[in-house]
Amino acid sequence: MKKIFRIPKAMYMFYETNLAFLLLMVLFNAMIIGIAAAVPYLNWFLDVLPLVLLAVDWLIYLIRFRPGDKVIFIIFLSVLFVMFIMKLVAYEHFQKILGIAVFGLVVTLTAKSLFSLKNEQEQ
Amino acid sequence: MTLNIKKVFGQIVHSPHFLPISIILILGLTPLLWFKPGVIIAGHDAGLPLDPIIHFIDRLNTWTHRYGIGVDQSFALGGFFIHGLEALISSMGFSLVASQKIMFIVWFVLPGLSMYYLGLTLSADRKHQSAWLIASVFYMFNHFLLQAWFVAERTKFSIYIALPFVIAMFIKVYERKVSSLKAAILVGLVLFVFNGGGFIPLYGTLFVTWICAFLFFVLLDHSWETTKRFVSFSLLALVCGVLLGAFWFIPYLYSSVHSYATSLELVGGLDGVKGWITVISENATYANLFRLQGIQEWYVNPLHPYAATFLTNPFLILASFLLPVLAFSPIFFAKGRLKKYVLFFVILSLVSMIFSAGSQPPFGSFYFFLIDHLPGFAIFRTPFYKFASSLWLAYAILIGFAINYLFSKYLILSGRIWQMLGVGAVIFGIILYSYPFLNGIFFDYEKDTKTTRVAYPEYIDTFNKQVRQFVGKENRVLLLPELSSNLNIEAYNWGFWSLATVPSLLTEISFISNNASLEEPEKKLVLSVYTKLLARDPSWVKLASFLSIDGFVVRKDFFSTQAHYETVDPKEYEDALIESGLVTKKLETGQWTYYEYKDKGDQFYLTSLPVIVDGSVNDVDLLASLKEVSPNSVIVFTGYEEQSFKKIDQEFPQKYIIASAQCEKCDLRKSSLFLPGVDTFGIGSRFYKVVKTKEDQDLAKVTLTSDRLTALKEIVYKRFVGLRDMYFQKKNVLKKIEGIKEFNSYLDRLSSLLDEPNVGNEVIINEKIVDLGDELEQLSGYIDYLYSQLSNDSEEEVLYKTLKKTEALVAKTRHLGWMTSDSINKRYLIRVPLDGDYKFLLDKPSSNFGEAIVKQGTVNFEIDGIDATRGATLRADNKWIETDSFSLKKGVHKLTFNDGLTPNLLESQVSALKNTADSGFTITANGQEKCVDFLLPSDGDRNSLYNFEFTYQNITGNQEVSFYTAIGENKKSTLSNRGMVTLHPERYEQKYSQSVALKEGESAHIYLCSRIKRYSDILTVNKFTSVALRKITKPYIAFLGGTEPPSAAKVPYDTVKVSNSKNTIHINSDKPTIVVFSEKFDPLWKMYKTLPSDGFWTRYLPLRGQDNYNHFIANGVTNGWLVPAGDHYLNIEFMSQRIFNLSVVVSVVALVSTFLLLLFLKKGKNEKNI
Repeated sequence: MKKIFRIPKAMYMFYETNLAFLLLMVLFNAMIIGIAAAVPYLNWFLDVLPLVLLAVDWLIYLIRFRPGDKVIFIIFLSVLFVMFIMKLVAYEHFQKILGIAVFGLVVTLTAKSLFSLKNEQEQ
Repeated sequence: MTLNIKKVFGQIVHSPHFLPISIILILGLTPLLWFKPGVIIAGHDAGLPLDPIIHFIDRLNTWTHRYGIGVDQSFALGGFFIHGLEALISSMGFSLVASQKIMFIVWFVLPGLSMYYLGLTLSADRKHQSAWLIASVFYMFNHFLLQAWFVAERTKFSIYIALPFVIAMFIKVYERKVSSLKAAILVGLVLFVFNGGGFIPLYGTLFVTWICAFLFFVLLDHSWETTKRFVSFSLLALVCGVLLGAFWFIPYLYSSVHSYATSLELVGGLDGVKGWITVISENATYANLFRLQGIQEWYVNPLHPYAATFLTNPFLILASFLLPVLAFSPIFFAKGRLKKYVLFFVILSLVSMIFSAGSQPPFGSFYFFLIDHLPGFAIFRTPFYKFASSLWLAYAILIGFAINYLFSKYLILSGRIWQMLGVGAVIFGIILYSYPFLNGIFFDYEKDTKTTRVAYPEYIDTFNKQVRQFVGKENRVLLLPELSSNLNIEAYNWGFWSLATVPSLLTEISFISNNASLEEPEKKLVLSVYTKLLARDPSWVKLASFLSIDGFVVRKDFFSTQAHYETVDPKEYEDALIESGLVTKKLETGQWTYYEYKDKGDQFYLTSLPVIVDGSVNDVDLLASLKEVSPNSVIVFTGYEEQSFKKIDQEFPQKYIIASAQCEKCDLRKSSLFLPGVDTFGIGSRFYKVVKTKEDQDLAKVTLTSDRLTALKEIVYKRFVGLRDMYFQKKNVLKKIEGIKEFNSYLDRLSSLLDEPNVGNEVIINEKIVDLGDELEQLSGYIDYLYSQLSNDSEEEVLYKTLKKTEALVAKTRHLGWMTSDSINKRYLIRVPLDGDYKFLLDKPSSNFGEAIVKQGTVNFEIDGIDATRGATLRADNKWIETDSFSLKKGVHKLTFNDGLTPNLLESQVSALKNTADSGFTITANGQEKCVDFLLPSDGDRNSLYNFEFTYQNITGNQEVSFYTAIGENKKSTLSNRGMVTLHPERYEQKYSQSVALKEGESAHIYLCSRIKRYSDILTVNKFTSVALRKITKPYIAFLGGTEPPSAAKVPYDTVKVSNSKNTIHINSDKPTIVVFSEKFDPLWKMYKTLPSDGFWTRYLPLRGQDNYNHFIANGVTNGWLVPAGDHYLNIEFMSQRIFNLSVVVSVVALVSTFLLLLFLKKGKNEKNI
């Protein structure tokens, strides 16, 4: 990527960080949601779109950064915390999506642990 | 060898498990806190017996008298251990309240012990002891059980107890601590006792856990040896479970095979099940499930005793978020041997969540896929309640493990004492988080209104004991007053509130009422007795005789004025009974009085007076009021059992024949069009041809024209949806034209079907044709809409054809279908069962024109288009109008009867509004909604149907016309079956009519409006004329034929009641006789000759061959047999009991075998050790 686009080093470093990834993803997601909301034929997709985007983001993040268990657990705790706030302000719809996100996080953690368990057993 | 008690005691006390188990046992005494002085737990769905011993004994029969007019309880035999425990405690002499306390303690403590056993299986290491203690306490004290405890759901507790043990066995098999065979036997034995009351849907959680454990352990090892071990363990456990549980499982299976389709139909088929799942899973979101919440009752019951606290208190909300944090943290710190088990419980919790969430995304469609395609999966109608046990189990273990780890690692003040204090604090926290366990408020399922903690009055118990001197198992007693028409609730002013009647929990004697367990025809019959008794109509005696009612109980403590569940004041019934002079007061204890009926008999009556009726069981009350029907008659409905009908016709040449006329669409209701959601692989799809071929093949298999019409109609609607979607998706014009042509071909097929000979001459198909006409009329409206979306001429041409074809079909259905289209000219279909002379009979009170007929002395009607005016006379009963007889052939006949006009209930209100020359009125609106409000007179018959009709015309402007009915001032609450009706502004006068149902005691309005239209501010004037609201009458008409039967002497008989499911009868008659056995009709009741030696095998083996006596439905609901002349010793037996008896033998043999096998395995192991 660096070679093709000749991205300045500072910019590339920025791109390498989690924060940049997060920002890019937020922009990307907002753009897709915006398109779905603007095009009447895609409106029906709006209900599941945040969920699909969340799953896609998560997969890209996993592949790109290979986060450790602790990082995932911190994300898990953060999402739970956001859920708690959402619960207090009774914002049900967003909470629902976060619930599924938590499910995805636990699945990821379990899958990672299972792989490491298998590796341990094989060794 | 002497037993050293001191030594044994010392061993127990010094056992490392003494303290945790003692804590579990002490906490198990919690139920003692729930009982206030003088109260017991009863009501709602608790089903806790008020006399446990009698209840238990009754449960050993496949036929019970406790519900309705007898019911097959083969599906409920699995409650043996649950009710056995209750009976055992009671038989030790404990009072009812003491028995309940002991029983509750047992059910409360066992989940804790079972969980502790699972913990020890995971690790017997002392350092994990606290983890398992915490897990056990959490498994006993949690919100899932809290919701189950308010009705003491012993069936749920039963499976809940078995679950940890099953997982423990999986682990032991995995670790090879026990052989597959031994583990399978132990699982079989545990599930033999803790069988969930034999309620299969509760096994959902067990199935999920089993599949999860099987896959996890097999995939973890990935070895052929492990796979073999688990396959053999699973298969052996299945065999053991089925053989040991044969005593309930086989009858359950037998009963389910017979009733699955019916049960599914009762809940609205698969679509009904899916609809219910969507409702019940509304709050089972993953966000809630992770916090172990989502119980639907919490969110929908504003009077829930504690839900609001947990849903709104920020500290409790925060505590709920701690649960997933604790539960999933062991993923990081679990090490060594326990790591895989931690992962197993994490996976189990996730899988349980998927199932518990039901229809919730993202796996909701998977759940529905299983409902649609996995046979029998539809029994899991309430996903949360059926699958969440394993979620709580997994959380209990994980939380216990996490807390123990955190204590051992991070507790600053180390040492056993501090650790114990820490564990104590956690246990205290767990209990506090489920605080309703401490004061029992969970029993108050509607705060301050309804509770299952009731003060059971002693006089009912006394009544139960004393009434037995007058009433036996062969008698039947009617409970007064009847239960509320809303939900059929049994409510007493001492707090009991339930769908189950008190006598059904107290006694095995048949106390009947309009209980929810009654099916429609039985309910109709029982309700007719109530209505007629109250109305002092003497024909109640005949109905009481049909039901073999021997007495009445007036319950003055009945809560007849409870809001929403009102019923008649018991005193009114008591007065009616006394006035009848047909009863004698025999017993009065407290608020309950027993009146004995003068013609007290038993469950049988013998008769030679059959009355052949072609009609509906719902008219049985009207039929009973005919003088031709005596208390000793038996009504034989044709159409149910052709064979028996022919035989009775031969054996009894002199008898009455009644053909009940069926008024076609008298209620003027129109059938609504329900289009399917999507036409999968419909027109335009690559797979369309495959789908079409399959549909055609299925259609060719349907033999009955009426069924073929329904099937083809459904395909037509599906095709239309496919076509409509092509328009929505803006498909290519050529494709759309192709689609329209295909749809047209289906309309042609429908038209050809209607051209088949004899279509329209059958009662069943007539209704379908009429409905089809209504629905096609609505479909043409949709086609009209597509017409507005046209893009070119050739498309217009084919779509125009569609419109015309649909209209032609509507016209054809109107021509073929025989239906009432206005409130005056009633149209009927009559199916005459036999050729002969018939009299026209009209029920005067149901007709609007009855009085006029009596005055003019003639009745005008047409049969098959021919005028059949006859002289009419009013019978002495002042109810029935009859004519001279005329000849009718066997078959279906069309009847027209003019019933005059009922008064317009809105007349005065309409005249007050008059502002046009033609007695109409106008509504002028200018961009806003304007309505005219008609207040309905409250003195009308509110339980009847009314027809609201008007003519409307749009003079100027474009606002639509709408109308809706409303209760009180709440305009949104509509009463009409179609909610708000909106009509296009029409420049020519249009007539409109709609049937409206009004409920009793409610102030109702009809709003006729000029409805607001978006972007409109043009002055609109809509004119209305002929506005009327008239009661819709449904005159009951019957044709009476046949001849008066000779009076016959009563046939003597002797009966012996062997058990609930077996009776013997001795008849000696020189003429054929009909035996009426007043238990609910069931084909499994068989009559056969008593064998000389009624030996062992006859009790266990199903009856070989068929019974020789014609079995039919007598009086629409009970059993009837035709017995030829002669001296007969007969058995009447419910055959399901034999299956149960045989299954019990299988279970006992399996039980003995498993114990022997266990002994053998133990001996083999000992020898090996030596």
